Amino acid sequence: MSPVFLIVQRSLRQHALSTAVTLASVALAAGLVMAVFSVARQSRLAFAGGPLGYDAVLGARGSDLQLVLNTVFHLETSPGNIPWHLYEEIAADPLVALAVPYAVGDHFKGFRVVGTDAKIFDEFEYSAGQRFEFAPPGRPFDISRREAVIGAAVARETGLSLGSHFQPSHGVAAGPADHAHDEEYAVVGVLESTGSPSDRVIWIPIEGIFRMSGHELFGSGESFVPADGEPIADEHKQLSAVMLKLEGRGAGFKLKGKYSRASRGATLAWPISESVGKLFNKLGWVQRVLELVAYLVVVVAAGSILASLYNTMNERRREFAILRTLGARRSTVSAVIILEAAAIALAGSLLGLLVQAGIMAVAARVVAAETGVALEVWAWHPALVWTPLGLVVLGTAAGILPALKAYSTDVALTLART
Amino acid sequence: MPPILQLTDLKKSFKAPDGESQLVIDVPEFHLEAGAQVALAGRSGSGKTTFLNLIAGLLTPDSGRLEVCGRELSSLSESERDVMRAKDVGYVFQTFNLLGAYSALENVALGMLFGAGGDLDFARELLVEVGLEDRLQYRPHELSSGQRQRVAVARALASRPALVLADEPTGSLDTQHAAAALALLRAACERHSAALLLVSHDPEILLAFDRRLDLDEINRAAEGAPQ
Repeated sequence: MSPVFLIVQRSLRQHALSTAVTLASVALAAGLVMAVFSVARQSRLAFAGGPLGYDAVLGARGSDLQLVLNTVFHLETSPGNIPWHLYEEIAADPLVALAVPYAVGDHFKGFRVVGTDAKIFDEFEYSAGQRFEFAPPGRPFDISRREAVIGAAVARETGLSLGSHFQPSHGVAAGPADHAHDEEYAVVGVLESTGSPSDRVIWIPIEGIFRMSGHELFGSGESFVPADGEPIADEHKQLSAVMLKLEGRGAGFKLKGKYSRASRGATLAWPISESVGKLFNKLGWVQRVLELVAYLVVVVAAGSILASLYNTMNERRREFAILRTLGARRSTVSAVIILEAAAIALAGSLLGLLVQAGIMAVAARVVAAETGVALEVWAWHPALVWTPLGLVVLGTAAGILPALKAYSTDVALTLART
Repeated sequence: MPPILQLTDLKKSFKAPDGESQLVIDVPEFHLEAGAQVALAGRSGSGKTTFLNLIAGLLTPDSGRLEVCGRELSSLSESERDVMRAKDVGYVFQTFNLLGAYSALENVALGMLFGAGGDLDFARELLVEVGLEDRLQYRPHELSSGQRQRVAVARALASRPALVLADEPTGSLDTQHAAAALALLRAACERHSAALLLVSHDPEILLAFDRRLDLDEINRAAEGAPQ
């Protein structure tokens, strides 16, 4: 073994406690930086860049962002309703490949209840080529019955399973003023996990929303409450949104011009990623603050390397002086210190990968619990490379000052004092 | 025999606390032949350690000529002097100056790592030679003073040096152990054909040498100094 490596190894071992504390601070810093960048990138991809299953959403006149958050991510409240004929009109448009009606407004234990039709299981792809799959022996709901299909997270967190019965409550979130509707639904299908917001949804036939006790329909402009068994004329029906797959990119421009007008009382959110992207742009300063904090932590970690090495310099002067009498060059004892700093930075950075994984695992649980979006613990991000590299460079630089002190050790004077 | 160490008009001064330059070493001539063993007497503060540090290249003289193993030290750069020290000079200290984080074997190996390179077999051989075959993995704090000095002797010979400098090598040992350590050092130097220059103020140690010099007599800077 080279004398330099032998001395570095021994020194790190001899100062095990200070080495461990410094390693931990570097690992935390590295993990924090990597996690901040990874969470930011994955969140943006999941919310604004990833496959969402739909190209556009048609909903009530209002904010694009609110519409998208409410219908695609099942967050926020609905901006309002649109009449049924808008759904029929846009569904028949040749620029539209798929139109799925959504009616929202109820929940069960905080999980959104969405009224829709069978197309959600037969035609909708939540990701390219990926349709909902039923855990055997589940099946889609019968639109003429009070049946429900639940997402994987709903099943996991509410305890509902095939054959379970439940009563939806009014509103989109659980609260102290909850009151359950009279209607009872039977779970006939549990969907396999998709890692998308759909995992947190309870799907029921859209007629179920129309006929839910306490609901009134205002499609015609006047209140209408259907009696049991009474057919509902289309003019009374209302929807929260129509989820759309379009025929090519040009379709979005044309449809937006046609529907997003005050006179139509509607908003066509398109492209969906752009709507959410605006949110991320607005919140960009939060990301920048987090990054700044992470950078500061890195600087503090580099400072801790400097402090831990510098503090040992006085006691190590004798060691360096002895090594010099044995023939070690000034550059050799300096290299020992620089290498120690680099070794702590490198080992700390590698441990930082584990810290990053830990932070990501916690973040993934929180994000999944809140949105259904699945973040990957080990998703690739350039920060996984440049953080360790940057820390090794910074850590090595932090070793320069103590190394200069070692370099300037006066051998004769030091030995005379011991 | 050709001299392994030869110096002429060697001078070294230090700045005193009052700012005045104080001449500590002023030796007109001194030489040591290869394999020779010389004891240099000197009272405390007479410049014994400075003299050895100059020879080891740890200090640079103000003037004069200093040749070690045929090389004039003033013509060498600092790193060349480091190489010279690593290969040609072994150093034994009064306080042993072993490194606490290393075993006896590693301490000896460190004595050769910067020169000839690591040779654990030779390091082990040296420790066996000084009677520490059962203490190879012991750390300095696990050894007695006498044992520590034996490790220091083995380390000084590890790079197969032509010259061993010993600065009060028995100063931390009691009389009985001092005599044993001295005998061991002299025998080891003889076996490895290394010249030995030992400085001490202990009359008993000095009496063991056939060739003895008083630093105060060869050092003009000591003239008039209290004896």
